[in-house]
Amino acid sequence: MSTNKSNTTNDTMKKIKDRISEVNWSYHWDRIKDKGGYIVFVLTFIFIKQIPYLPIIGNLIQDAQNRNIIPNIETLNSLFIHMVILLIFIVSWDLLSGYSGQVSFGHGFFLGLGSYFTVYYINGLTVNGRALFDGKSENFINIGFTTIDLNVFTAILVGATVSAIISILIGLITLRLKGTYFALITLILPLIALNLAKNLWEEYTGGDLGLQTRRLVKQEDKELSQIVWEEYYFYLIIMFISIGIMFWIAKSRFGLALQSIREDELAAKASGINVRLYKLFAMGVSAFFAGIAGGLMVQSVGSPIGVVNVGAFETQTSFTPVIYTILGGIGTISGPIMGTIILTIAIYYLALGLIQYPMIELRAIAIILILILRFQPRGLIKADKQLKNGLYIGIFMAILISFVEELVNLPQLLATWFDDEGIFGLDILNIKGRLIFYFFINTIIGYFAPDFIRWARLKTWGVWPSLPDFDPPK
Amino acid sequence: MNTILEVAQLKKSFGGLHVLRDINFDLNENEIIGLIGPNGCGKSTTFNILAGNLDADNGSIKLYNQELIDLPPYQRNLLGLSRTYQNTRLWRNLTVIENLMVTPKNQIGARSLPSLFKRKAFRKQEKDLLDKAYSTLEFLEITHMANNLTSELSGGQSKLVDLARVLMSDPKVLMLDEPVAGVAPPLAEKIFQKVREMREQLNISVIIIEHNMDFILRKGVDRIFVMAAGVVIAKGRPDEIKEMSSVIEAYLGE
Ligand SMILES: Nc1ncnc2c1ncn2[C@@H]1O[C@H](COP(=O)(O)OP(=O)(O)OP(=O)(O)O)[C@@H](O)[C@H]1O
Ligand SMILES: [Mg+2]
Repeated sequence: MSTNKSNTTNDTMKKIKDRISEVNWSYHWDRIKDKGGYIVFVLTFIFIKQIPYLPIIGNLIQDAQNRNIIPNIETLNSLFIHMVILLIFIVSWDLLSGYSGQVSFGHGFFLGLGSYFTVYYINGLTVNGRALFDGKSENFINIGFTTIDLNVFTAILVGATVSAIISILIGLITLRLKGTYFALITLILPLIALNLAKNLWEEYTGGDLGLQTRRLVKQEDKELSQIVWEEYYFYLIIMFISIGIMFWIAKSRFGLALQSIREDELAAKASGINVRLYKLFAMGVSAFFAGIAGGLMVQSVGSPIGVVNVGAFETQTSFTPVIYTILGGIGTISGPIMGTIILTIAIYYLALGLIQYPMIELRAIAIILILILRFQPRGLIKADKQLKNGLYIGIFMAILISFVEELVNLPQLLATWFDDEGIFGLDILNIKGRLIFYFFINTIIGYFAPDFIRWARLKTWGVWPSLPDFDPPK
Repeated sequence: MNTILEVAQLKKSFGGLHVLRDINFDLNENEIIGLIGPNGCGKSTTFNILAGNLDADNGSIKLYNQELIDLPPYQRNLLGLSRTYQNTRLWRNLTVIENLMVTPKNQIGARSLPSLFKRKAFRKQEKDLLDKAYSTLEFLEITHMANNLTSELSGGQSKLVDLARVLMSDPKVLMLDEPVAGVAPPLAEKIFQKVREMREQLNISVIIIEHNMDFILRKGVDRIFVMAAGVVIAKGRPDEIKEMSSVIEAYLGE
């Protein structure tokens, strides 16, 4: 009886063991890491205001803020508002270009359409003295943590819908175009729009000065410092919903079908996929969320009014998602998210650290992009482990050194080693400049350290005793 | 036996090159036919036209008495026409299992609203499809590659995944373009065996292009159509084909 029982337990144990050995752990570990990344991303964006007041790391953060290593709370607010709106825009680009493979170089067009039609819906539009539609009056509702103007919110949705409809009409024309030809058409769109908006239709678009409108979040009754956070949290909710929907589309069978169209359209057709419908859908959804970003962009000028101008149609706007997504990793959702966060932060530091050469940060970004395209064409998210480790070491050491640099008089030393010009224009007297410098040096060290250690070990005591995780040379 | 697929007077030329001059053949329900002929005689082109990847210059394709010639490729597939490729056309940046999950028909997950509200049916279908995908892979002996990108597969493995992909789509008429070229002999044998089994179990019809005469003549193909220079020069049962002098001249060459 008892032997029988122990036998069965043994059997079940064996079964469980077999199960465990069957499981592909590295696959699951990757997924856990993915999930962890998303959780950190969500938590950071939600609790960014509270982070300086957390136990333990809160003190460190405050210390870092005092030393100017990380920006203070107001700057963080404007950086994050910027990032939140940009994220919607950039992920929407990736859904179209990364997933369905219709690379768009004119996504700013849809952003601009969203912005303008949001403003038209609020302000009303009068053409040739005839009112096409009237403006909407204020209609505040309280949604708990803040009070928003419902009509402005509707306007954003209307702007996005107009943008989606127009993109589908364009899609009907460009449906048969592939690759470069599609890209060329999309490249031209915002340029045409820019020209029309600046010259022919200036009275409707306001040209360079733009149009003004009301804001989404009620501005009266409260301190500005509180309103900016209310705005941030409301945009954040919109962002989570938008990216959530896009993420869900991308991960569903629908996204899979889009990817199959990207990989081989002919085979997708022959496998029962209605390529025309899917492509139009991708364009519509992508333009819709670009339009949402456009509607929010109107609000992001950081003044008590909302402003839209023709800037959205400029080439730079359209190239932003291309650059950010390629850096992060095209054809994923986490790629553009990571690319946006990294580049927004990088631009912030570069702009302050390279202060001697104004606007040079964009050129620095261009160089980074070229290097990424050459050495990590699949983006940072799928970069080599070695590079990733190098970057982690770079970031960690840069922060660490900037905390302790005073102890060894490093700033003064650096200032005497390098003359006033700094290194490559890096402002060594400025903590931001030094941070970039430390980061750069430590990334290089971190990148080559494993190679060096391996080399040193082979030179000194040979391959034995070989470490368990000794990886063979590539 | 009733005819389910009727191909008549198919013509196709590329520029001045008349590849298909006059192709006529028919496929009965639950039948396996072989399409053979020398290189460049237009076999793959015929498949391309049947699947809708190429437009024919002239001719008609009737599936269950429905004219297909003006239908787009995806509708032909939904009606039950599935094909594999001579040079595999897998979705290279997707994993093997993802490749297999694209083709099944009537997926709840491909329609946005049902996949939200019919969660239970959706989950069940998802699980069934995954089970089916894995059992297909298991049969073709490539389960261990399930989570690899198809761009990482060897040539023969790609052929197998291509085959698995069409099997997932529940075809009525299966068009296999040299399904076992480059596949190790024992597995090739097994694949032919499986095709015959599927014919019995799933009641499907199969068209096979194959250069390996051993398979074609001895492994249970019901009828053979011999093509040469864009026309069908002979048709018949394998034992009849073996004896025909015109075929021997054009293709068998003994
Ligand atoms: N897209 C195309 N454009 C131009 N010519 C083509 C095209 N597709 C096929 N051809 C020509 O059609 C002829 C038949 O090609 P097909 O691929 O149908 O031959 P096949 O019978 O499948 O030969 P094989 O046994 O070598 O696979 C060839 O001469 C080829 O050059
Ligand atoms: Mg061929």
